[in-house]
Amino acid sequence: MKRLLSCIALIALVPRLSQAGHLYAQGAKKQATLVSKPATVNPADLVGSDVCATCHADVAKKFDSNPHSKLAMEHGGKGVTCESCHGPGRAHVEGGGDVTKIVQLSKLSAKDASATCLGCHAGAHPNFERSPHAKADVGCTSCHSVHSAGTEVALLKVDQPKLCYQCHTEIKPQFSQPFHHRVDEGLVKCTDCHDPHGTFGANNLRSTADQNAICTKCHTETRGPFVFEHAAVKAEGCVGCHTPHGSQNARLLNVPNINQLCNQCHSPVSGSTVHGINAGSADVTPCISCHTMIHGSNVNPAFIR
Amino acid sequence: MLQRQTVRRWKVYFKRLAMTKIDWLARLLHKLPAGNAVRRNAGRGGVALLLMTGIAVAQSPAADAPVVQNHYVIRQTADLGGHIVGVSGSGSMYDTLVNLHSGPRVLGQTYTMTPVAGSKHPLLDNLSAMSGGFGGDPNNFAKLDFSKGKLYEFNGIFRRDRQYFDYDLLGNPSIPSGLNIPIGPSTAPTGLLAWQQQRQSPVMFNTVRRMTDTGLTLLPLSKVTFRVGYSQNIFQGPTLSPGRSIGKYDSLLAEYQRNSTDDFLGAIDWKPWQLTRITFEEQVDHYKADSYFTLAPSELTVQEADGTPASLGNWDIASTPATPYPIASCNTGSMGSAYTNSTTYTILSAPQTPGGRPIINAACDVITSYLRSQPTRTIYPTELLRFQSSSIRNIQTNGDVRYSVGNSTMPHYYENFQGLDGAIRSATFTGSTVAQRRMVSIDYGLTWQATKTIGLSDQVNFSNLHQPGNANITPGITQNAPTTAGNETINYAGALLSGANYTVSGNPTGAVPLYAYFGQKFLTNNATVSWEASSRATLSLTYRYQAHTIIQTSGTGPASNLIGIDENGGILNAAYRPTSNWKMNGSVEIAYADNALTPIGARQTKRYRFHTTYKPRPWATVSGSYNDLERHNNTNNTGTPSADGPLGHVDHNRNVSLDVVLAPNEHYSFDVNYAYMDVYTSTNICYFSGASATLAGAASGSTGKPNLCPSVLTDWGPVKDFMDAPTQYASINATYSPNKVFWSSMGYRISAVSGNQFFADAQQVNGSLQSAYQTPYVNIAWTVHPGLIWQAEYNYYGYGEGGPSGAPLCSTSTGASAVVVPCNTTTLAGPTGLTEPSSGLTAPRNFHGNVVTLAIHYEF
Repeated sequence: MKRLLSCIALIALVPRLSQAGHLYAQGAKKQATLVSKPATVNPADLVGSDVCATCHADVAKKFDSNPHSKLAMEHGGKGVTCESCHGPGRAHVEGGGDVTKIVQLSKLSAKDASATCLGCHAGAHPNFERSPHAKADVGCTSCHSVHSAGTEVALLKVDQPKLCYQCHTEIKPQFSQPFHHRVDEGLVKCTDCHDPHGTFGANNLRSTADQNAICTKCHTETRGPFVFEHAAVKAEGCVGCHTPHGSQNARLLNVPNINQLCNQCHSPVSGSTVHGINAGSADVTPCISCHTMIHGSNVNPAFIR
Repeated sequence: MLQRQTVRRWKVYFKRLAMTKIDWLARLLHKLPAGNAVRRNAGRGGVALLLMTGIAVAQSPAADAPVVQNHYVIRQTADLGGHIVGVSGSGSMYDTLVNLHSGPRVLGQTYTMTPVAGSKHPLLDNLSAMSGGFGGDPNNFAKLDFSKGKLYEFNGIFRRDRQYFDYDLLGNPSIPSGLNIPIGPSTAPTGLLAWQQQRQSPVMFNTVRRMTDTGLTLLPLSKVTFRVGYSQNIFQGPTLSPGRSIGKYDSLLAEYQRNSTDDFLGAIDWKPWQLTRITFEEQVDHYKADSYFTLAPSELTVQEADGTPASLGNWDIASTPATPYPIASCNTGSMGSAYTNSTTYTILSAPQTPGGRPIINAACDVITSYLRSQPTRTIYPTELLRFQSSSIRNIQTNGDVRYSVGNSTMPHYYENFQGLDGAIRSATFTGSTVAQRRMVSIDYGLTWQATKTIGLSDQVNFSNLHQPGNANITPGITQNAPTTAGNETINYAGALLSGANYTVSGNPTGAVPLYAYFGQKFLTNNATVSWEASSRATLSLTYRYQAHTIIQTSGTGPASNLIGIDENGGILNAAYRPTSNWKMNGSVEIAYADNALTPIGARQTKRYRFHTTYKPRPWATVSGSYNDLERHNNTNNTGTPSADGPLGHVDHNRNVSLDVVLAPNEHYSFDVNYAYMDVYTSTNICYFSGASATLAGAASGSTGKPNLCPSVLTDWGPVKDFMDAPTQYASINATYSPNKVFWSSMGYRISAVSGNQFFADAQQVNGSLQSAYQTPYVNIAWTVHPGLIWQAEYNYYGYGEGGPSGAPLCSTSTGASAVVVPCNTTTLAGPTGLTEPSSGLTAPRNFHGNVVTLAIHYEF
């Protein structure tokens, strides 16, 4: 009962606590719902995007195609404009373009620059601050460019997978191996399996809604549930047997010989060591000649049907 | 002026593309803003289109004057062309790896509508549509996006992937060559039926996957946003599949698959306060599997006297019986005059027409028909409640709760064999199965910026899976011929008799349901402290704890296996920027688990990562990375005397790579990559026997029998079974654009592996560990006229296996401390003693493919 009351009290406190942030942001100019970075801003310090455009014409002329500003352009300047990200511009203008009196995201640390973006986009990327990218000092502007994007997809600097390859140079060769997921061919994107903004899983991996491995979104026949599950498939995951990016082995297997793959677990050596495996067959006839339904079966516990 | 800008832009764009040799489909999927009028993907075409170029020039499209209709700027492009392809070597391997073929193609098409500046429209602000690859390429896509400001956003994509997989066995089929069945009397055959070798992959795929994803967001910027979505995934086509116990023997089957999913999504996002969002999402996935199995057509090598095609089975038998299809496969008492004694008999008679199928005696075992149908339906509704808030200063928190109950049913299982198996003329299985997947998962994360430089975060993940199921499959109901002399035939015309139940390994002999259960629980906590040591350096340390519980109940009994794995680990991350143009970051991860489900489940894990990027000049970038994953499981075996000892599982995956990009000006660019990957895995393994005695190169033990383990079991080993796959990758690309209308690039990529593995089976295919896959290419793009670009592209695909199949390394003994040496070592004794010829047992697989693509890119 105490625990329940504590929970109720905590839940009741949340709106109150949130008011602190809300009050903190009250000084900000009222903008669209998403555009609410909690920072104290004096409306008198804002100059408006038209003033910015007088000097930054090269940037301003792209406003109508920029997802951040085009909506504002279509609605009388209401919405995200220059000062939503760069802060109030009056001091910068009155200083004759003094660059020290305006927020330059390119000069900020990755963390601070990301904080600016997350001021609006935290709802879409709530895990970013705990993500491996954030810990590696990779911020939003490492991949996205608001003013000079290379693609119209999410304002990326360069399209996938080249963007990812720029840092993950060790991954690029894997997609050039004889057997690979067709990422370079454009059929599959890095972001089909990974969310670079962070997930609750390891390696920024996505999962299906029911928390199955992301692989089963396409490879639906392996999703189950099966009456007879191959426990290792569920417990070790697909990568227990497959190398997803690319491999010299057919079917993206971890080893070229299917019997070696199976016997790593199913041989007498591990018979009494590892749970539920027993001695296995330790045979040399290709295992899948009989155990064809190796991802799971509804009919046969030995995965033969 | 606009033309000059446009040309410069597309040159920069092509330069970027060429640096990674990204396929044209990827180029289209990530197109530049339409307003930039980029000449993208002036792809590929056919000879006819090359000749048409001149006609197109005469028509002179006006790319610089966009079409304006109803206050929309409308731009369209089309990439028309085709491929000219020549392939030598293994066509199967070419199709498995490349699968581009000759013919005209619609390589790309785009259509965009953007409003004229300052104009507003009631229904539509922007529309973008594009597609590519249609006309015969293995990968196609179509994409459609449109939106109306604050009202809605729609996006949809269709992708199609045609997969041909035939990693063919070439000279290494499971049945050795030179085996025949006599036609006519065994003592004086009039002909021979070659025991057909299966030269295709027994798991050949000729399938297509069609994936459609659509999403509609209503009121995207409002306090309450609605989202709906629909996705469909269809996988269909024929495949080959081995089949166990199809009648008396095994048989190769053809599987005709059609599996599909329909996924529906409905969601509401509520933003009650600034920087706070609460989402409720309902997702319903429906899965339909309508696969069925029949005999593979290649299996029907003989016929009955009435003309019914029949299969002898045993498509993959290698060692026993020593002779293909022995007389033991026939009911000799019913063969009539065709059987005299064990050495004088007639199984096959000459075909009625030259080139026809031989006629098999009616008393011999065959399969004339097989059908297995197992239509399965699964529905997975999932409720998801998600929240995110950064409304509280310096605190960011988010989490979700998911609940999913997936029900899978197979109401009508049907399997039927017809032919002859001893006295059995037919066997039929029927039944139904039910399985359920209940999943609850909770994720929660909290980040607190405690001070200006110190941040604390914690992340908890919990999931609990229950998966009960049961299969109520009848034992095989058989209809038999009488077991009396002369009647045990496939054409016995009298009433058939009920026989003993037919069983398949693993299934019950009685008509009882088989229950099964699988459960799994994860609890993971990651606690992290981050320190921004300076504006250039950050450090973070994470302590991870994971509890993983797995339970499985198998078969009919109450026996279950329950294991718990507790893992503790630490991760140190560091990022440092020595200068504004030099970045580096790395991490060290060390974890220890007190248990493992499988030998490949690591007890000790170490991972080291390092990335760096240095830009000495704005036009020069040097990137490097090192990634090393090391995993061990040295659990000790104490239960099987002959195989006592440690599992000794070790695997590592070490990568080091370097990438240099130089783009000094718009005329030239260079990109050079090199990577070395060291992939290794090793586990102590026992084998039941060694290489097949019936294949050339078979190993034999001191007793003359196939490799036997000297232990109490007939197992061989334990031996250190391993795979070592050191792989080198290199690529180089150069672009050259002397002026505004001409652009070219050329490059070369190679991925080569020179590895080996332990010899366990003369049939095993090892060639892929001694192989090189290389793809040089050349691109030329010529702007014939503004809005009209002609492009030619040449790609060479070469795959070659440098050595024969069959692993080159053997074990000197059968103990865990065995030394691995080349198999052709003359001193090799004992259970290996391999006599494989230096030429190997199989021909290496290789192919060369020349693909010329010509195209015109037309803007209008």
